[in-house]
Amino acid sequence: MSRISAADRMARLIAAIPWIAAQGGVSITEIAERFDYPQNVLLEDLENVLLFVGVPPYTPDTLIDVIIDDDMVWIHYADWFARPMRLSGSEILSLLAAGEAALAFDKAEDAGALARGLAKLRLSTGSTEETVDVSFGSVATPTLVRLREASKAKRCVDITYQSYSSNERSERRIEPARFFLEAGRWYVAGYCHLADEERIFRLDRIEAATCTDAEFTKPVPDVAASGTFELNDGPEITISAPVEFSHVFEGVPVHDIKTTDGNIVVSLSATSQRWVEQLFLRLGPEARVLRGESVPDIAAAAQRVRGRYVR
Amino acid sequence: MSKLERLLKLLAVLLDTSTPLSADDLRQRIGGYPDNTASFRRAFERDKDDLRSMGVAISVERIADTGNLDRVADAGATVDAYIVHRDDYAGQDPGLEPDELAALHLAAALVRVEKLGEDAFWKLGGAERTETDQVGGSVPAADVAGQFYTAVVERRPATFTYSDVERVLEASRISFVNGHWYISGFDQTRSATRVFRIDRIQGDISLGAAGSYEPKPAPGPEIIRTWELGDEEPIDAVVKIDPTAALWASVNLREDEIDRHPDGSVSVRMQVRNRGSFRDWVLTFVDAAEIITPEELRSEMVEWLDAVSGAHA
Repeated sequence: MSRISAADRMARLIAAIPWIAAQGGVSITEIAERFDYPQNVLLEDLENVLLFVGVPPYTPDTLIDVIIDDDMVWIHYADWFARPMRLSGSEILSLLAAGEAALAFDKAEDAGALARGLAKLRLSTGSTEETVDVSFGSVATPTLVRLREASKAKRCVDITYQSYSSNERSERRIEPARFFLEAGRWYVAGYCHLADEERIFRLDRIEAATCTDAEFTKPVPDVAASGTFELNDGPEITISAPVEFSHVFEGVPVHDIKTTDGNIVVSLSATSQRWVEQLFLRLGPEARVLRGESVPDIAAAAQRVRGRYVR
Repeated sequence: MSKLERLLKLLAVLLDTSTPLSADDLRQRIGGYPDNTASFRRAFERDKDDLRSMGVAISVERIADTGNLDRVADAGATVDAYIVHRDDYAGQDPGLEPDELAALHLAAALVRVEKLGEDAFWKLGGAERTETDQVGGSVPAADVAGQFYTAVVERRPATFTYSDVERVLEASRISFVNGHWYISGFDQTRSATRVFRIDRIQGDISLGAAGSYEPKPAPGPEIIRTWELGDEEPIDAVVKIDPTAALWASVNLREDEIDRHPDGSVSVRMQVRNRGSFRDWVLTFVDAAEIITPEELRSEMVEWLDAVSGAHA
């Protein structure tokens, strides 16, 4: 069993004490699992440390009372540690964010317990939806339910998609394989019959979804190995731009990003011509293509937009 | 005495005492510290740091120095004294039922939030191991946002630097939108409500006294509108967006700011306080959007487009 530091053991112990005290008799095994506490270390800390903790004069009546009988533990008189430590502000926000994101995603499942838990957490920590507002895009519930069910059953879904990169609405059949969160939005990735390759779709841009009986035609890619999706759905392009334009790349899945001499150098997949055009229009006159093939004609794109301003 | 035992005793004594205790008092009460005074000091400082890094709020006050066995105090001298107030230490128990805690734990397993560790769940009574589908991506760490959380809940004015200007903010609302944490409230420096992106704050933030202000209604950044994040003279603009991109536009705007036309196109009214961000937003639509008014912003756009087209010609 790995060694854990005194501070790590302390953090577990002061959280476990109020819980054990409140349970009245609980097994070592359960404490160890619940608080990720190696059993032998836990036993050592209860028997040889906690038993001696208290306040002066350290007579039995001022010490914590720990009873260990076989596998069971009882703790009494741990008044100072009667309540668990306060959650920090960042822990509360992180819990709310995780909970709200899961709620936005998992409406299909029994979300009652999660919603209740979040409400209690808000109530006990003095925050409201007014003061702490966590949002993950508005995904239409029925769409999401259908996509998730189809994903589980490995069935194709026909969707109406408002594509950003091609700036048009399209009807396509997709195999919803994986869901993921990127820059505060939910996405689904999977094989697209229309494009005949794997594509990524933003859930809040799917206008309609109809389940079909057609089974997946492609195996679900194994992403467990890499942990994230490879967003390789276009030729790689490397762009240099003044560093003050870094925000243009926010929320964009990039392969590599670095800063040199006041310039930001970014490599990414050019998912569509139009998408690359908008990047360059936003990056301004000082942006350059360092590497990449079939880069759209940026001057022509600028003139096309410029054409709208001729009166 | 083991370090763990000493830390536990130190915390118990600090929680138990009704008056702040000096380092000498604590040394005497806890025992187990090195005899050598310099070594004791070092060990005591480390213990305090350990408790603080666990999140224990140790309050420090000055009290009269009463000396110790080896040392007579100077008349009128004072020393630091320490106490942990029980209400600072422990929070209100949210009283989560096992299924609610399990659901929250499952949510944290499904959606990874950077730096959110198991210890948050230990404080809630620990949760059983859960298995879930792993989804990719994560929510950025909320550590600085966490400080603003304290500011909002306890109404403590927050002082920080943003865009090279020092601000004093009466923070009233934290938002997580489009993958970023934002703080909004009344900016005393500008005498106006403002929204700041938390990861763009320069340096540290410091918080003033609790209960210092009545929160004013903050701008509702349901969707953070970058063109409003600025200090420029506000200017009203109208942008026309083609039917193909109309859905995108409405994602960023409120319904009362959108005029819908029979052909499916929309006109959106925007108040611009950051012209660079406004241009940026309009250009995300490429040729599917056009600034209609004012003339000033139209000609700025034309200049920009001419510069881009010249540079790539």
